[in-house]
Amino acid sequence: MGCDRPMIADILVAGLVFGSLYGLVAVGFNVLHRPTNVVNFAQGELIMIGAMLMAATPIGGLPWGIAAVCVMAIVALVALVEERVAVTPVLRRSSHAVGWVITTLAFSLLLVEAAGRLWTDQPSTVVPPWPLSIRVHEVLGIRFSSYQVAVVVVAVAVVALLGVLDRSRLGTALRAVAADRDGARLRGIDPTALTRRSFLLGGALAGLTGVLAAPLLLASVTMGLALLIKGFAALAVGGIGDNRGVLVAGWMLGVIEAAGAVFASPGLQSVVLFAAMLLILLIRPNGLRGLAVQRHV
Amino acid sequence: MSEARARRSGTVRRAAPWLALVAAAAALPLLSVDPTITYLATTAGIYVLVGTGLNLMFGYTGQVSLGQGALVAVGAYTTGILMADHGWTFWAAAPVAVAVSVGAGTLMALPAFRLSSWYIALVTLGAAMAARSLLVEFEGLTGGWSGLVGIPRPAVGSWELGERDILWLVLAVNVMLFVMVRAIVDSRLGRGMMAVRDAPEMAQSVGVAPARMKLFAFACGGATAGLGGALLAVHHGLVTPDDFTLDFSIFFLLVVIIGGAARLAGPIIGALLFFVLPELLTGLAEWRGLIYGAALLVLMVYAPQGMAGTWARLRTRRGASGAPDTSGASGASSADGPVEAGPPRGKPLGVRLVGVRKSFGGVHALQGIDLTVEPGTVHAIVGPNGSGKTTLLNVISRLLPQDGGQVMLDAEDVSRASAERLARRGVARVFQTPRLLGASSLRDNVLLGAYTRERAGGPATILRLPWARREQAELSAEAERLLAGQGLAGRAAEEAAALPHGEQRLLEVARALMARPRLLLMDEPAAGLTPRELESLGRLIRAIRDTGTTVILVEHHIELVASVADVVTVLDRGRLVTSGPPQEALGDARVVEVYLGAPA
Amino acid sequence: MTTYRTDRMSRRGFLAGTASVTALGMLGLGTAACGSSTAGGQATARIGWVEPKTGRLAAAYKPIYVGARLALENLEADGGLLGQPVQVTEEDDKGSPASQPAVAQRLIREKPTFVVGPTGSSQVLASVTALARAKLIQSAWGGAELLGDGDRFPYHYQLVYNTTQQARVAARFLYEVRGLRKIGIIAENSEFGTSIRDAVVQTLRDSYSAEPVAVEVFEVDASDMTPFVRNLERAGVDGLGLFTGQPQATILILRAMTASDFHPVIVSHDLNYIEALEEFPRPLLDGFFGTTYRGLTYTGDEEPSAEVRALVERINKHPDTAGLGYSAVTSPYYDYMMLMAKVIEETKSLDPATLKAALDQVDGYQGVRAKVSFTPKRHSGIADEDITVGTLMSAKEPQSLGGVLRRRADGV
Repeated sequence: MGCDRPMIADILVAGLVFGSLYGLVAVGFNVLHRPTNVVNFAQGELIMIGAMLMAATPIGGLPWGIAAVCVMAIVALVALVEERVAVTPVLRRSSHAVGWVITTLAFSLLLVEAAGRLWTDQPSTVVPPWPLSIRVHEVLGIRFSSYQVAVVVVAVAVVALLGVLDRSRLGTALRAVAADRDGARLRGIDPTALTRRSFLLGGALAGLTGVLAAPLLLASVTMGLALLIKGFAALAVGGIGDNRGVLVAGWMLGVIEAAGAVFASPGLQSVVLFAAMLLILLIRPNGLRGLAVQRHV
Repeated sequence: MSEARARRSGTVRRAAPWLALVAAAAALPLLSVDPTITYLATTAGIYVLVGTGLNLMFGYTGQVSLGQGALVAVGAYTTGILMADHGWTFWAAAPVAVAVSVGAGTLMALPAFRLSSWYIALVTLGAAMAARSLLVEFEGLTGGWSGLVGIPRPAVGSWELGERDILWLVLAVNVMLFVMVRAIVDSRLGRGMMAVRDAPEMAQSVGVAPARMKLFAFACGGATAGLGGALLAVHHGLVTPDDFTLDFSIFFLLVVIIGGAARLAGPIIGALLFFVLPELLTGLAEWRGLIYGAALLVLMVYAPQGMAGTWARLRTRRGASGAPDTSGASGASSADGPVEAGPPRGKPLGVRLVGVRKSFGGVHALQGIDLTVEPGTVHAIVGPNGSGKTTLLNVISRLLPQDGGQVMLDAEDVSRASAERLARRGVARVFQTPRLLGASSLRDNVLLGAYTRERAGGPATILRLPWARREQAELSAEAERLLAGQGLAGRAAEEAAALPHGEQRLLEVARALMARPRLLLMDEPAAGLTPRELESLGRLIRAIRDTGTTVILVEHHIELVASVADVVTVLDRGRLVTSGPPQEALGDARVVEVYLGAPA
Repeated sequence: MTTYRTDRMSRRGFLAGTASVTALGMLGLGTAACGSSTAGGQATARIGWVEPKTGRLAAAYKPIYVGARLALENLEADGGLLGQPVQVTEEDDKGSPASQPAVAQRLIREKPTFVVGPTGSSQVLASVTALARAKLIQSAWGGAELLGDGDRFPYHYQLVYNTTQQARVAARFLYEVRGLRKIGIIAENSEFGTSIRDAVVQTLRDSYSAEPVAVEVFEVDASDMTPFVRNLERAGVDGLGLFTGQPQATILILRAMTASDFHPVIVSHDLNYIEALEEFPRPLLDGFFGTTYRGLTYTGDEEPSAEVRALVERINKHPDTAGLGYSAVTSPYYDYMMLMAKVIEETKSLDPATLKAALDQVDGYQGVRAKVSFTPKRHSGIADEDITVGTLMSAKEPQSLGGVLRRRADGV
């Protein structure tokens, strides 16, 4: 009955779909990392808020498109608050501080507390927009739903769009700020304004990720941490700053995770993922694409 | 004699507040009948213990570890298994737990050699999560989900320790650890760790092997975690996998950072603020999460150095404004007096490069360089921007591996050697932009240069053996003389980051001289100096050569080069143009063309 | 130079040291004073209450304590215990096992007459172990069989069915009542999941000489259940034991089943009806059953008692219930507190040792959910015959009184 082919196909489908989500988390990290050199520890919770908002009745009742835009706007605003409160004040003090680890962590704690007060931990479902659905079709022995395909397509589209943005004036300005914040200022680029814009964009992206994830992962107050960690892993393996790399890395991790679920004992799944990540990093310490930065002595 | 007595009484006075704190903590169970206070104090003491190890690892050595909780779990489970399942006594089980945790910590350190610090954070995070899964997986050993119950209290013979006795035990361990850590921090080990944290390349150039230092740091972290875990196991009487969640690991990092990284008092303050205080304010339980998050946010923004760091900073600032500057000579940044350069450790070194090549992707920085530097000379390397001067210096100092060709130090082939090995041979380096331990004193920065000269190793330092202390004193005196020679007399205790740029450069020189180098590499020392300072620099370089040190000087400033160098080598786009005495080399038409372009 | 700096440092440092000594001393004395002032009144009954007030489980566990709050209302209406008003000390355990030792210490200091909670397998084990030394009567919501061992935990009384009982009922329902032979198990990788999975396998072996055709274990936070469900499908499972404490996992499993059109008969741990279940096809949900207490079920002929119906009404009105009436009514705390009240009134004592002796003699106490009996060795109180199997979709029927009660499955 061809038991192996469906199994591998299942692993691939699950891996690509969930991997796209992990990749999107990592892309969100990248967007916020560019102008600030900060890795946002609250990214998982921003996504969670996006998912929960989408599932919340008032917004959930609206047509999907409008609801999604609303959610993205709200999460973008929350990210802006984070930037004002947790990121810029730390960066202002010193540009190579480690303080942002704690402040973004603290902000994520506050988000979880707030969410815990607003919503219980009952999972809520979100219905995908017409004509997509989570109904499964079978083609050549491979089972997938139209929604799953859409998620992968959206992830690739986001990376492509960001690539276009990168080549624009805005992208160049961002790169300048990343390389030398003070130098960029001398050229008339305002790092603070750029940071704010990046956080708005990163927040909207987190909101989008939450909206996409909600039908698949089920919106719940606890979903943030797992996404954060897997996003981190994709970021590390793919290479910070490389959107295409982290998406591919996300897919790899998704497939490894799916394979682990099938073949390894559940207790060892996180060990498998961790070992895989470690192995990749040891072989290529700067991530998959090996964008090694030469030191300046 | 009186100096020693003064120092001893100073030490006692400095120790007074700590002793008072320990006494207060020890007195708690006697003052209050409430068992929760004793319980809380014991747990806090254990957390301080673990935090101190993490402080060494993260605060002093800059290794971000999110896996400290996992190491505590290893220690706790080892103790639990040995005591509950095999009937070992605590006094036998605890050392084994420490050893196992050190092993685990070292394993976690291995990726650290290849990865930069934020990746280490990720790897240790992954290790922490994997550890928990493994704990559950090996049910037979660890009791799986239910964990291990019935761990007895430590006993001496037939007398079993009670709650109070455990508190006193924990306090005693903390005191011993504190003394040891203080000794380490003030010693060459501590300086080496901070160098690895702040300026890894400078660390290599003074002889610190970053890999070994990181390993040592992780081992320290593992040891304290193991000991903390052992104490936790007997304190609670049970260990379950849920005791060691991700939050637990993050908690220790928070404690160290908020308390003040790289401050001895840091973990203590951190534990008091973030463990004891929330536990005591039970009335506000509803709001605890929000207060916790908000407090972290506010504290990190307004006190980024942590509480202990901010306190020290305020005190320094007030001390600086209050105390008159007794060293009036600090204004002049040039040395007027005789230059103090101790004799080098051996004969001056010569360098020979044969066919050295180095490319960065499409950029060919060095294209087959053959160069000989005669021992005891000042050899200058000049060339327009992008000619590969700094790359050449990096290859010579082994901070950069070449793609092809040989590098010889006297007769020794060092083409594959590490930068640390060169430092042990007597090579010292002054960097283009000062690489200093910003938070440390001038004296400590200079002492770093003596890293390979100091004989006192770890155990001798920790035990504060008399000969180790004597060596320290001699080296300190020498450091102060060197500082005086650079015009920084009497400011040995000042913070390096507070110096203006020019003086930082002088500090770099002092540090390099402290190594009593046989070969000194200087990278653009003249940049930004006034004519008067240039003159001093010239005198200094000549003096260094005259005491028997070879100097290789990468420089733009042609006048200085002309006045100081014995041999000048001109590079252009990775190739050697000419090499010879200054008048010849600099007058060569090709050199003029290289700098100014061909005549129209 | 150096000595000057040391002087200033040490003077300020000395002040700081003295300040900290004084502060700590006052803290210690202050708490000592607090402790001693409440040690006086032993004639008033004090109840220690462990509930997550903060942390991610806070909102989710609120309904579970509704029963306890209603029981408290009963006591207050009756004028308290032994004529005195009841004092309740609420402790926040943050829903975490790690907090239990500290919470236990505070409880020990308060010296309550009995302790309610905590809730959750891992939390309970940590708490009970920590409190074991203190001889405090306690009932916590944890299903581990260990917790009903009267020798191991002489002061803890288990008023929920344990995993062995639950496994026996589930296995019997699938094998005997429904006559299914290809039994599968899917369980989460946790304390609870592991023990019930083992118990079901054991029951099948011992009572029916049968083996499950598939056993799937998933990580608690797994995001995709498809591979596990596929394995069950491939093994041809027609009767499935579904054991997880996470509602998300149940939804994801059902979803995977819908995608494959795979509809085995399911016996689950949790019979809560949540909105998220709306999306599933009726045939699948009609085959969804769960273990529950006899007292909370009805059939075509049998109706639940008037006492139960009154309680359900009060539960539905209580603000903390928030639509999770099933969780509220299955919680052990109402029966526990009413039982304790009865025992206290009968023995006229607040002394734990006396109360323990009386509790160990309880035989056939009729709680709202089931009959409760204890012996000195057996602290697992729920009678085997009072555990039954209910249907999920009966939550939609009017007789369920707002989705709180359940209809008993046919043949049980």
